Amino acid sequence: MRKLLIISIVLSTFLYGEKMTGKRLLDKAIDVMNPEDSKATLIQTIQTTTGETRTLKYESYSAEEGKYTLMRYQEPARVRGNALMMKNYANDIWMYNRRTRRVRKLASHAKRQNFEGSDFTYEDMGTGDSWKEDYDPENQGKETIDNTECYHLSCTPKENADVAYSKMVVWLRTSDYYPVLIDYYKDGKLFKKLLIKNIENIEGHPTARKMVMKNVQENSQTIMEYEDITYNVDLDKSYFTERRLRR
Amino acid sequence: MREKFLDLLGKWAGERTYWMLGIIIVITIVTGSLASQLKINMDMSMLLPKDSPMTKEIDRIFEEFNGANSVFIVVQGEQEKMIEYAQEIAPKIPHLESWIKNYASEKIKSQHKALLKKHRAGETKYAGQYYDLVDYKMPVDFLKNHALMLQKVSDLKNFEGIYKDPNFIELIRNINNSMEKEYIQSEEKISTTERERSAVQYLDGIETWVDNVNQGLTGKQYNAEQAYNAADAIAIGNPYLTSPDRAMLLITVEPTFSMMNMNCVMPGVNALEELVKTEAKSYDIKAGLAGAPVLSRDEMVAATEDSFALTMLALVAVFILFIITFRMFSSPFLAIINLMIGIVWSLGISYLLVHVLNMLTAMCSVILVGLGIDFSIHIISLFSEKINLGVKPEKAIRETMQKAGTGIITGGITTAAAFLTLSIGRSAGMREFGLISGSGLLIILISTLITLPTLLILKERIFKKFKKKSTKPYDVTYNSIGTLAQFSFDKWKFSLIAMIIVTIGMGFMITKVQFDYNYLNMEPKGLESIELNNKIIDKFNMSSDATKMTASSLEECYQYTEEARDKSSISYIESISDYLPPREKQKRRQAKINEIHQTMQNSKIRIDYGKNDYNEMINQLYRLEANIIEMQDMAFIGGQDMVDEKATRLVGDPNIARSRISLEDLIYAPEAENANARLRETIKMLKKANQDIQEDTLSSSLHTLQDSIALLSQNYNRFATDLKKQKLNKFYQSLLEIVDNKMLKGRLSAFIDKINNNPVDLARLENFSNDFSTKYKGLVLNLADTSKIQLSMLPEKITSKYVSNDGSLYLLTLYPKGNIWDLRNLETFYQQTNEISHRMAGTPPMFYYLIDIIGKDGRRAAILTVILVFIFLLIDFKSPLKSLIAMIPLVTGFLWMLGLMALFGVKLTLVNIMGLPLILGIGIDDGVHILHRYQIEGKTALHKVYSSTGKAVIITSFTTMISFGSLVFATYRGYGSLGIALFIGVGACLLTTILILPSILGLKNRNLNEKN
Repeated sequence: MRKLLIISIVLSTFLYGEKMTGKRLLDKAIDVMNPEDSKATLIQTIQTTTGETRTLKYESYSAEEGKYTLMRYQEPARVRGNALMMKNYANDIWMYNRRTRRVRKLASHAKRQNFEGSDFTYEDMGTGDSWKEDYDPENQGKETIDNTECYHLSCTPKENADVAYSKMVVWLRTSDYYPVLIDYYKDGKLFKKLLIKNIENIEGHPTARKMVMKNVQENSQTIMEYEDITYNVDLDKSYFTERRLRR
Repeated sequence: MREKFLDLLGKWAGERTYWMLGIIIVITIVTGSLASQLKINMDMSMLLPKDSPMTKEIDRIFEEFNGANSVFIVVQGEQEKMIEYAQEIAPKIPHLESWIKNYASEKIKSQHKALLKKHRAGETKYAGQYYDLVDYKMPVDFLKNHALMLQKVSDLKNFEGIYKDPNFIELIRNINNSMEKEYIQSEEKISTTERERSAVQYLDGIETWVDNVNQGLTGKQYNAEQAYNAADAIAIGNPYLTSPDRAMLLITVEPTFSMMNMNCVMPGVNALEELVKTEAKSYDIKAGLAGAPVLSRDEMVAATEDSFALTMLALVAVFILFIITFRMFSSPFLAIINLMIGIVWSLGISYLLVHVLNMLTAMCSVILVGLGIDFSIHIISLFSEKINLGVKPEKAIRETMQKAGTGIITGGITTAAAFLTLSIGRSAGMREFGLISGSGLLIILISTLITLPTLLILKERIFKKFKKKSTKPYDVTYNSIGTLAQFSFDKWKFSLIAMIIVTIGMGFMITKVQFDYNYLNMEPKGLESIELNNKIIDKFNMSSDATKMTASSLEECYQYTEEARDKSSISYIESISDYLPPREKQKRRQAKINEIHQTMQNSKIRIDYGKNDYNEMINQLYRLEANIIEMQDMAFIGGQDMVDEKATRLVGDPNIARSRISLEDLIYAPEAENANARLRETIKMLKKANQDIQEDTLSSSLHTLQDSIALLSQNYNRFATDLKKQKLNKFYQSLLEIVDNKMLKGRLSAFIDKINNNPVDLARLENFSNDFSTKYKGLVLNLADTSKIQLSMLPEKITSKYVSNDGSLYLLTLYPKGNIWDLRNLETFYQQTNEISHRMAGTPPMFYYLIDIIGKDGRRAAILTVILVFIFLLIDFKSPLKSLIAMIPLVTGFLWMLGLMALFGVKLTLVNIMGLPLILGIGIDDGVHILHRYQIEGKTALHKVYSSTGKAVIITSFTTMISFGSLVFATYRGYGSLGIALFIGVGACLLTTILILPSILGLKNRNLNEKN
């Protein structure tokens, strides 16, 4: 009987010793979400204040796992060439206007603000691995979301962390740690929901073709879709210059 | 008992005809006089439950704030003329009565006199004036002394540069600094409606400033007034409620009457409309009215006209159908007379029950025509048959009453009971509709049993006197229907499977039924008030249908206002906090304002300007232009359309500007890979810019250029590089010429070009700058008054608008963003306003609440109707199986109705959703009549049953459908939607009775079928 008990303890240690901690899960998620570099074309659909639907198309370049990002508008033609550059995980943001040919640096607090009037903030767009520094993740176990087995990860801000949300709940696919749903909370209330859809494996990287950010408090939503995306494009931080922004 | 009563009525009709006639006339006169006192009130609040908190809140707001629903005068034209017009008309509105006396048309005068008469007789309330508050301008005098105390500390910090230095060129530099700080570097400043509106206001001030600076520096003669106006524009902004494109001005007018007091609504709105339109003519502008009271007036006019005209139309249509079917004239004529008498009786009783008809009950008479005529059809049909067989009229009527009467009573009571189930509803609208239509149908049933026999006897006597023979009834036996039914009966398996497939198909279609949540689609077409409401939405991104909310204290009012500012569905908030900020906030602002005051006090006004200063001015103006262009692009990308539109007025059409850049780029790189696509994009942008151009010559030049570029794009690859360059250059030059047109250029860009081409004389700049700076300094010193604002310091115009008569309540007006009649907007707006406070009133929450309770009422009523109908059938047939069989055509007919609605694209609406439970009451009759006759004739006589009773069922269904169908012609489109739904519903139940019931009977009697 005693032997049996010892065997079962050894077995359970062997089987469950690998239980993922929240921190490990978050590390893995950040790795999978932020490939080294990429080049993509995105379509963003927003609702204007007069209720019209507006579609914007832009090309996006990213390097050093999302630390550097450059986005340049292609459509509609009236804003073609206007561009935006984020460095240091959106802590530094520059904007270029093709009509005035001026480059302006946005105020430091801008990263918390909505990216070009959408429901995404600059922070949502260029988070990179800043989550690791700012949040304490906790693995809440497994749950099924849309028939997919997921890890339920609850992230609370670290003390004195300068973050926009009071809590984030992330559901990661158990198969590859890629997120399928993120709930953002502000002041304890559910604020936004990011629905991550049409996940495909592109060049060995799981990639969400479509992302829908729903602001549940304001009942608005922004849809972002990848028209195309390529990884491993040999981009480094030297690409992200003012000259490139103006091009 | 029932038979004895019916026999007695038949006997009296035959033996005491003239007594009966006398009684009928007396009842008709009495009920007619009662019916004439019935009023119609189309106000939505009439549909609410009487004890609803919203109804109480509406009453409270009306009592405490002298009116709860504003009228909007929508003025369109040139800005200066609109302002002159507003200044002229505003003082006249509170004294509208004297205008009516002296200048109004006879129609308006008589409407006003009628109101005064009713008021003197104590029949209605009238405050002695129709309107009290009129608003079209911010309280400028108050703002000139306290504007900075009304700004947030963060805004004061961002804009403090503007208040530092009064000198002209320094001020432009400071405006640029503030703009870059406030808007360009922090785009979220324009990302909510409230912030977007404040950005528009800011740009609006700059527009007025540019116009006055332009006049002051480049106008023919210098006038110091232009410099003063420029200073006002920067310090105060545009005080008028104008649209971003300045093509529309709003004047809000507060009525002293409740929207439910139709005695005041009609003359009050009509008189104001006449005043507004008459005065507009002399200013060469357009003006009209919008807002809930105006819509209420329009609805009432439409409903009153519809109610009578459509009842008449239904009567005529039914009469014609009657003549065509029976090939008789006199009997159908009597049926129509009988029906009219019945409707008068029922309207008289309606007056005793409800006094006022609402938007749902106003159309009951049309519904009663459709249903009430059925009783007459059965009596006339049988009576004519008897007369034709040579039976004496007195005997014939007694036999008719005994044979047809019982069926009529059963059918009538079943349908009336179904209607009366609606009376259990919570909403007053649904309850009264059930009461009026249910009781109305019973009254018509009674009136038919009393009146029609008497009239028929009278007819026979008159015919006898003039020795005229009664028309032989035309044999309208429908053999084909009998054959079809017999086929279904014999081949029950085949027909049952076929019908099940059709029903499944219809069931599938039900999933595609849409609900039209746009309430404005219920309103009459082409109403000016709706058209203007839509224009307000377009121009101001807000709906004129506001929600009012009350706060019990100033603190609560502040809290609600703050919460409302964060709600995405709210476009604009009006409350006392706009003019009386919380004490602690005022305290926090004091230090900053004091600093501004000191800085301005110490500032010195420059007198001399040199060439370098002039160049600096040009540079700063270019910087301002660039800032506004960036703000415009940011607004476009972020979807803030109003800011985009406003910026366009200052820096020009972005599509034209971007086309220029596109062509310029191509000249440098004509062989670029995407050159052809860029050319096509340029054409698209030029087309977009051309959409808004009103001037023909300019528009045609742009068209020509678009066509030329299109031609180049088609043949682009064939041309050599040099030729491409040459052509591109040519089009570029043409575009530059077009761009140079002042209509396309923004006001700021045009001004910069003007002073670049014709530099301003330095002495004039000095004069202008001096006057501007002196005035501006004085203004800022006043604005920067550090004394705390108290309630007692507010102008009476503000306190009477926002503070209740006894000072205990504070009013907030919340204007919804966009079209509030779109469900998505309405739902969000309702939920978000409800999060602030439940104490709210107004058309949007009322409508949302109504959708909710009418939906619940409808569901409850439908379930109860089905139960009731089943109980009646059980009593009638004394067999659960037969009762169930009688219900099959009804249930499938109901499914078919919804399926057919989806198939024909008919949407469910707030009005026609009531048709659903009604159909359950109406549709049951067909099956009941067929089964009754089937029971009498026996199992082998289905052909006969359908040929004969099927005929009656078809005719009664057709008369009902025609009557309901006449509602399609209603001006008030809500009735049209009800008419179509009922038309389809009755038709569907008829179809299922003819197509499905025989196969069910075939299934039930399959042994008989097998034997055959």
